[in-house]
Amino acid sequence: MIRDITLGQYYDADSVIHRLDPRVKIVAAFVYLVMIFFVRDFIGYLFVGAVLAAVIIASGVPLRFIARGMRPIMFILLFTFLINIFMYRGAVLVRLGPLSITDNGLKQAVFIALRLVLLIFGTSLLTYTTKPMALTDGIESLLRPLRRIGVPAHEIAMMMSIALRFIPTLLEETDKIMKAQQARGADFESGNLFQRAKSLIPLLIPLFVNAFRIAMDLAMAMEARCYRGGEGRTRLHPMKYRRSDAAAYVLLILFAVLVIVQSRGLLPIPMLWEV
Amino acid sequence: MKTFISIEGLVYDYPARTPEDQPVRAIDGLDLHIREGSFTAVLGMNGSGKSTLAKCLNGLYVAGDGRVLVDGMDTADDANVWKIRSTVGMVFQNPDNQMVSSIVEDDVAFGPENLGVPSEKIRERIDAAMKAAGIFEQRHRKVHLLSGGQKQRTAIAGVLAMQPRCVVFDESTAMLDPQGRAGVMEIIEDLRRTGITTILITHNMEEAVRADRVIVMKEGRIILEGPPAVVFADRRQIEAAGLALPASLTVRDELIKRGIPVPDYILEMDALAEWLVRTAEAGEPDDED
Repeated sequence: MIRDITLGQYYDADSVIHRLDPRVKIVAAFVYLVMIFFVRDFIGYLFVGAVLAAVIIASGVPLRFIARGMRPIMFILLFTFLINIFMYRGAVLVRLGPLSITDNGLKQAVFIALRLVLLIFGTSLLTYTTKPMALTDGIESLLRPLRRIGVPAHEIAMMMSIALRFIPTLLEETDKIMKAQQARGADFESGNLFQRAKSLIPLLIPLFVNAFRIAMDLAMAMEARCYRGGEGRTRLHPMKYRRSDAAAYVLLILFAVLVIVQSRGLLPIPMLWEV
Repeated sequence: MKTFISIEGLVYDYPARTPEDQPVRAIDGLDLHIREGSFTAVLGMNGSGKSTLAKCLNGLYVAGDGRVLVDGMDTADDANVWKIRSTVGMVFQNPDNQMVSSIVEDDVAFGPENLGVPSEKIRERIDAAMKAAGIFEQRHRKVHLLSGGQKQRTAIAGVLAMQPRCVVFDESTAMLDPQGRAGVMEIIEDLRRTGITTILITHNMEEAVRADRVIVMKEGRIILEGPPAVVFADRRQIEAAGLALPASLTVRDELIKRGIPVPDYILEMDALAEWLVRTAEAGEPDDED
């Protein structure tokens, strides 16, 4: 049961987006994230949304697959929507007892909800189209210039990839311990919240002990295979920028410039429902 | 053939866990010479020091006293440590705990990457290693979805990709099902044919019988050694070491007791079965006179 949880949300396909260098995708996700906060009206969102739609289509990841990623944040989305819709003054549209929905509130609520949706869709596309290993390699490479100020780029990337590697192993371990404890009469399912949290102790302690044992074993195995940090290490898949990556960077810059120019009202089109 | 690993007066103590404790002596003055290209099996009960010995062979543990020379290099000398570890590869017991990457081929590449092998060369090396370990077809799969035997094959490929001259199997078959065990044993036979020195630490007598030489350890010392036929002939010492005879030899003893003269050189179950069939077909010589 617990083993069915799938982690690492990579969607295997062979698309233009999948083939891009991971560094391009990480930078793009970052720029996209910042740009969303520049947008000030619905024309801006229309533009960002259209670009996002184009990228999603190019990536070949089905929309319902991406939409699935929305489920966990549905609550937050609803919550912010409701808070916003009742919290703004303006022309009253509907009155519900002491609460009232105003035009400004509605605008603000829709605006923030859209921002969240675009945020999740766009950034989850990064993990859907990039293998976890490529992602860590990309992060390592992007952080490398920061090594001079003491950022352990290689170590961070290695820790991330080992963490990803051991998620299924630890889930399996959890499952095993749970069954072993249940066989001895442990009860993980009944009782109030406090009792249930307490019943997790016989699960968590062995899990911790096992995790340390695994870490020791792994460290020894890594040493036996001549691991000695990032110094002098080569890669099976060295990262190389290609023409398509350069093109992607150009498009990215174009996208950022357009969003900024439009949000400053520098384009000869009027703002729509500006917030 | 020349000596590849030589161990002289090796002593290894595990440090005390608390100040009041005494250090635990795991290996107590051990001498051993292993020839290049040989297949050695190391037997012993839990706590006999056999796994500790394995870890001394590639400098994971450094001798407290005495010395370990691998191809003339002292494991105590820090300058040699990486050369020694790429010369003597090590496959551990738990296949899950020795994989670094989530994808088979990425994991196999880990060793060569650490050695600084150029990217194009890594590809050649890992392809050859994955083929030798019989995991090439699975190279793009996720490690956690493999069977135990396949995981251990991946670990072996990861060691072979470093192009070692010796591979130590530290109870590498202990956690596998019979099929997985048989697979690993096959790889060991293949390695032997290509002239790679292999050392198999095991609990399994049937596996030990296939070695050129068997070493039996007890309390950090070697109490018995020699070709399997000789070692397993010493029933008293085998028992003293807390070991059982291989099933094939128990059957052989039983057959001899019932008047069927099975020759000494037959050690493996397959060979025994074959001999019985051949003898039966030859027309039961005993009945004719």
